[in-house]
Amino acid sequence: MSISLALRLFLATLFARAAWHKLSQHSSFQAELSAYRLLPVSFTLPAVYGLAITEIFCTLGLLFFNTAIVVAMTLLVIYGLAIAINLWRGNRHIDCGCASWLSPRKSLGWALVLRNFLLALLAFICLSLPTPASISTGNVLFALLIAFTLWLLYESIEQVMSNAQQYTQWKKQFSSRSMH
Amino acid sequence: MDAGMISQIALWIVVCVLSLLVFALMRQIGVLNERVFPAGALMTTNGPSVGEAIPVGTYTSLGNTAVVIGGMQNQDTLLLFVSPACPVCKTLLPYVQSVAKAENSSTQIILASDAENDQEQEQHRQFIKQYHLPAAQYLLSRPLGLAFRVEKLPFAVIIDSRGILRAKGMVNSREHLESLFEAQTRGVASLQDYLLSQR
Repeated sequence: MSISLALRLFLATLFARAAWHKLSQHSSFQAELSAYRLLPVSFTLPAVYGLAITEIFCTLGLLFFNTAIVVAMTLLVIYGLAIAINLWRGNRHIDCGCASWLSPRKSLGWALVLRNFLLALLAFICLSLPTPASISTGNVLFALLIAFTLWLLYESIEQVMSNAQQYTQWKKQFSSRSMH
Repeated sequence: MDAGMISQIALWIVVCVLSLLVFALMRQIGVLNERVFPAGALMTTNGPSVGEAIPVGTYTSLGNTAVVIGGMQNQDTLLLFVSPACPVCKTLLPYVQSVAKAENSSTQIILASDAENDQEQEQHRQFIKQYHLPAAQYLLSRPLGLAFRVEKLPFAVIIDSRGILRAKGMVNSREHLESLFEAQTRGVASLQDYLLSQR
């Protein structure tokens, strides 16, 4: 089934990028992780590498076995919960630490929680579709096309989210300046 | 190939091109946001003002070396007030370290904080250990913070090699810190001042 393969490719791209972000900028990700205040300080560095390794496993495994999808789903839900917990605590202004391809850093918001649960739902849909075992070249090409489009749309949504955050920041800056 | 197939292919091409366009547009808006209106570091009106020479002082670092702030130096100084209890400061540290590497010839980086007792001093020691900060560039001094009237952290100050205050402000993000460097190179007090003078 090319739909299932396409969804798997799309999710694998996201996890590859997330893992790359964690490994290439591990010190800044460590700081972002400690700002979440969910783990003891001494655990943050091992946690960064642990998460990166799990994400690499997801990236490679997503195309072949369903275990990786379950792991990916769990990760997405954990990230979503971590963001939700900090929103409940009122920690809106910390950096979300979510890797984005080009868009600037984002602070936390319910939109991110929703995004994570939608991605987890997408992974769940993958589970219910048959595994891509032996498929034709045409189907693979078609799947690549769908995955590419999905990924472009996903990046657009990310960019829209960070643009929106920038506008609210400006509004705050302007209103605070006019008060002086 | 039947008509259905052809229309299917044509539609896919259109969808792909449209998503590319949407992405490019969103990206352009994002880039414009960043470039046209940089978020400047928040200026404070208290303390020494930009362009003034700052009082010269000698401070002892956590590595027990003497650090002179102000007066004639052979390079510019970025003074960043931080605290182990401030999460935003931690997100800035990797960037500060990269600046230290990139501009090592022209800017020396000094981190400053204060400790009231031995227990707090120990927290600072663990802090620099955890983030691999050089102890010789980490000062614990309450008078230094008071001299610049630091109220909120992280607070950054740029002093040039002649001991003159070039830029200062509260920095919440990497962009804010960059704006201070930008203000210094453009010779304006802050980016807000620069934008106002352009209008």
